[in-house]
Amino acid sequence: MKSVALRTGSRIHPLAWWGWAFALTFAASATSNTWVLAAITVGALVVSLNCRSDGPWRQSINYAIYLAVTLLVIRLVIAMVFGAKIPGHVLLTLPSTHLPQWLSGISVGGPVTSEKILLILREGAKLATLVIIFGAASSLTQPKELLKSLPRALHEAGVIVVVSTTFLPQIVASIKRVRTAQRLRGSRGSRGLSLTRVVIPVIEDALTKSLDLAAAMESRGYGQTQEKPGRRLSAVMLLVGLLGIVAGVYLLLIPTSFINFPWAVLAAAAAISVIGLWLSGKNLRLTVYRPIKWNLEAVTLPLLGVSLAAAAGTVLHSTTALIFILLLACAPALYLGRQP
Amino acid sequence: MISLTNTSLRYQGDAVFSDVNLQILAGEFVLLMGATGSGKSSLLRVMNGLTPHLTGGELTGEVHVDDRSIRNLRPRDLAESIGYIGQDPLAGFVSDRVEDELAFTMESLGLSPDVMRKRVEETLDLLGLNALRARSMATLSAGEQQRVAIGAALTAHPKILLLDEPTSALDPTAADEVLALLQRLVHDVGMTIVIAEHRLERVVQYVDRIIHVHGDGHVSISDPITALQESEFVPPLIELARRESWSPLPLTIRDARRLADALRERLITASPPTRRPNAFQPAETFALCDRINVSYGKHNALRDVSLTFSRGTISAVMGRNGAGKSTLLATFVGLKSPDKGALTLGGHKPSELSSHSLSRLVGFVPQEPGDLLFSESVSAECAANDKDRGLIAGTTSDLLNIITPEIDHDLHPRDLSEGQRLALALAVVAAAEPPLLLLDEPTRGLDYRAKARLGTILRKLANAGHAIVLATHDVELVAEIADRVVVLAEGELVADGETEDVLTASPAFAPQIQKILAPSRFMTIHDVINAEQSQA
Repeated sequence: MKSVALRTGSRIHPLAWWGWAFALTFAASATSNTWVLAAITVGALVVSLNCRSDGPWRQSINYAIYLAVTLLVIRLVIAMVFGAKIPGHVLLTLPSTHLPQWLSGISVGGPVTSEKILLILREGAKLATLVIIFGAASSLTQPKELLKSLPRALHEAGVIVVVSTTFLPQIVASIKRVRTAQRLRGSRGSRGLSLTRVVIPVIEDALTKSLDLAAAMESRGYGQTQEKPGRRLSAVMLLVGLLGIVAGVYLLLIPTSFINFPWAVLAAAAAISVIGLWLSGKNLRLTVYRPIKWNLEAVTLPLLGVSLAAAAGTVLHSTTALIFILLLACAPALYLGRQP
Repeated sequence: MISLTNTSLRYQGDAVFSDVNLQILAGEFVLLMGATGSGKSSLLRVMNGLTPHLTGGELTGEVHVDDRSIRNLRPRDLAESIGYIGQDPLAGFVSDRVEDELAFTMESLGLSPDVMRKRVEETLDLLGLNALRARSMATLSAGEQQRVAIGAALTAHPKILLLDEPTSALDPTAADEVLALLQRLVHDVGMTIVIAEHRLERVVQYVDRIIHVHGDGHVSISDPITALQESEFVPPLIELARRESWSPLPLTIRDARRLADALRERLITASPPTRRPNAFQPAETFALCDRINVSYGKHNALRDVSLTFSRGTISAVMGRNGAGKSTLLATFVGLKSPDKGALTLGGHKPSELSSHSLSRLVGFVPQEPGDLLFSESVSAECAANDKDRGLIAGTTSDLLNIITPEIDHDLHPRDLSEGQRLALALAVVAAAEPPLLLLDEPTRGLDYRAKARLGTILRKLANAGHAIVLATHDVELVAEIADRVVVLAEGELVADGETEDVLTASPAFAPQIQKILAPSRFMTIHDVINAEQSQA
């Protein structure tokens, strides 16, 4: 059997998208140039709208846009009403009141200048850009596929997420069913149905369903383990590694005189945790169906992101440079083409 | 392949079955039959260790599967040799996509990705599921869900499949598909299959042997003919054959037809069965809908349906899964309002009534009777119902005593048998004497005796002046009790008429007796008995 049959079409490894998004986030937080931020936002939107997945998460870019716009508007309103006065061209004058002496630092209302609006928009642009990047990354990947690429030891967490996403709608349906059944029973007097009448049948139903699910998963071999000697070792390593990370963070934040190499402690602890995770994963007999491979496209994505960050950080901000940054931000969409 | 030696199972001291000795050979198709609550499911689950590992209880004796003792094995360790499919396949699904569901067992077993891919493709082809591979589980029909569940078990290449009531939720056509599939697995792949099933009329013709769980702790295994000769639960075909002392006992319609010449001859002169006369009398009409359209979003669930339901009549609504039966019931109880067309209950529009006054006009028994019940005992349930509806204290429990006199009023509703729970829900709903009574799939999980009793109860209620409507797949029950049948397909009314006319016209819906005695129009064993008595 050749592994050619395993080609998974145009699916891009989810970590590649998140790597790209992380680089974009870095670029956005490092820059203070509004035009660069605008270029990154446009790039994230173009890529998301062209390459997003076909799952329910594809909508997340829409919500991110709503959220970003709402955040900007809220900031604008609050700053216009309460913010400090900035001299310049007055656009409109809001009615103002004089606050008592002890609140003299805060002004309410007064003239709103175009300079002030620009300043607020510029300040808000960074946050809005970050929200859009996050929304784009979620719309480009499916959480389930991200879970698939987790280390094997974390597989159970992934299964829990997947099971609950299929189980919750069933519970919701069950609540609806019981409510209608009870309503048709015609409870007299009480307008709202008493809680127990709905809750008890729903809980009974949920318990029956979860027992069924447990039986199904059990008889399908879920949780089969291979007894290997490394089991205790991996547990000890995980514990030591996690404690080391805590200690490293502590040392980093509160420098002490006798250990002055916190980064080394952190790195060593992280390495031990990773090995521990890998070892404990080896005890499980798990494999992944149709794993997503790192292909050329996937490797290129984070690289594109990193070059964007580098460009945004170093290039002089001329018009040509901005067009270059914009092109770089949109590059994944141009490179991958429109996804179905 | 599976052998039980002196196996006994107890729950808290009560024996479910004791000293069971039986061998199931490789490649056999075995049926587990017995009354509701007799321990069929427990016996089935003993075979892959779910009982006692998951359910508790005390198991003694030896169980060998594939020449291994399973005493120290957990069900998950048996996953490579046994596939198990529970009663509600949807509740057992782990993934949301068909393809991932098929791969789940293999992922747990740690098969390599290319083996997994190959097996998934093979299984998709074997079960004809390729068109569904990318579909979400929630959008599958009940028959498709059952086939995906079977596929998900098959990808692990087990030698044995255990299925708990695989056809109980399916319409006759989908049930035939699933059974034909099982039949093919036995014949082509050499699979050993054990199924527990109530609807014997659907399965006895396919199986090699029958395990009879008697309910008193005694379990026997024999060939189908011997088992059915003795059993008190038999499909109509066998009942007729036993009455006529046909030998050997026919298990298929074809065999029975060959033996039925004499009977057909005798019945030629008999007057055709008389049906209840008032099914279509306009004076008795209580509920009517006129060209109603009902939709969920863009999906049209009902299109231009016009119907009337009369007092004193039992009507059956039939059709494929998803044909609009449940929507029709939901519309009559006011849960959905029609986009177009008119619907009235005794002259009132359900959408304009308060839920309390609506509940005086129409009663609804849901598919899960447990949805209605919330009290800690039967008597508390009845008392709460009297209070809710402003009835004289004792009304509900009096009705319950008429429906099922032997019910224990101190039991928790969950501890009742399926049939008793249904009777309780029915009593709770019918106590307010709503003229229209609707039942959604009332026979799921009921054995023949419980079904016969349900038939009697419904007839009593109809004679008391209720208009009764049941949505069901159960052809034999419909033949037995319904006066009139409505068939829906794709949300449209395709047939509406007296039971005989509708059922005898369709090969999928024809009851067994009618298939044997065609072209005469006898549908049930009672029709035959009545005809012979009137002749004599």
